[in-house]
Amino acid sequence: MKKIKKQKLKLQVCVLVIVIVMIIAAIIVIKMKNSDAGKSTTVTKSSLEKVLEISDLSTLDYNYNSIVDVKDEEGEKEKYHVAYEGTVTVGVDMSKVQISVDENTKKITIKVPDPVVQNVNIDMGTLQFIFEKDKYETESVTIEAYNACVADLENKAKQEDSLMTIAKENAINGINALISPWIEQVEGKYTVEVK
Amino acid sequence: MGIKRKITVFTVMILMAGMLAGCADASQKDAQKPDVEHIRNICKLATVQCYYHNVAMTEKKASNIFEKDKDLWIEYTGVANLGIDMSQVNMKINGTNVKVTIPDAEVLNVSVDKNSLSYTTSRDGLFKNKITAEEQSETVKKAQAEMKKTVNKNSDLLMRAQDRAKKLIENYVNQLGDATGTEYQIEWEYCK
Repeated sequence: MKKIKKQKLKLQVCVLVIVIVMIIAAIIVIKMKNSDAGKSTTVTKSSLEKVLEISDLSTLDYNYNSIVDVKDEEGEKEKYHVAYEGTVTVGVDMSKVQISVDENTKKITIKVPDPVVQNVNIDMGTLQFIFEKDKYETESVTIEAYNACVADLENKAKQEDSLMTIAKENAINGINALISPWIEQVEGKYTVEVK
Repeated sequence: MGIKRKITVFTVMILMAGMLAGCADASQKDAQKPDVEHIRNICKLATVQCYYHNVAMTEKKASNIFEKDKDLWIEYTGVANLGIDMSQVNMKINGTNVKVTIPDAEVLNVSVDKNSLSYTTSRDGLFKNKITAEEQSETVKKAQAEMKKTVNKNSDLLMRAQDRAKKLIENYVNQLGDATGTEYQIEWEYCK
């Protein structure tokens, strides 16, 4: 009799423990489903630091999509691959446009300076990653990837010989279009060359 | 065949199938190629460059009781170039009078100052609550969008950009006048 009673008691305790565990688990699951579990929110603050006066006439945007393979510090193992979209802006410094007159030949020469890369911009929202191992997805990976993408885009822009040529042609065409009324006015008295 | 043996064979088959799937994924990676580049002709005059100190703060809620809410703060310098679309500038000359039509200044582009990015994160609980690479990029993207809004609302800066554009064009017209010994009078008109 005593043995049966003991066994019954053990069984009741087991059932009670199982029921309590199930109730706790159900509460946790319901709480997680109703809450913002795993969601992220972002708040940003911007403060103006400095303002510079510039005179950059941009005449070309070079849009590029590419993939960068980022390696470890030794440069041997690939850690991850990042796809990005970026833009290189090329143009001339408008304040360095020089106007000279040769009264002997009645020629006005407008010299446009050589173009330079004015801006390299990677669209942060377009970064996509493939990691060789999960451990490489660190909390600073985006910062590292961004710098790698900028370096990659700068390199690619340097390899495109035609960029500077096209940018200068566009600058010349742009200035010609702007001053065409003035060229018409002086036609006959002077010849005008924009180069 | 006993039950234990059947379970063992089944488990090995599952493992082998998993390994073969991994090989297929690896071969797909090699097929990735860069997309085509695109050159776009533009004519924009940037006259004011603004440097903003930006702080983007992301909070990621815990997914289970063993994780903690995670904070990520990213600090960087954002650059905004303001100016005018030169393709909309129009010049009409009538004798010594020059009428220049000029558009309103606008934010031409925003970018992240290279090498200015830094970050801080809070500690994890028992399990790691990782902020993914996509979430990090999204944080900076939101900060850039917010910075652009801030600049667009700053009418003083936009006015300054337009005034500087006018000065540059005026200087240019005066140089053209000097070249031909003509003193031009400039009248400004604004695009609607």
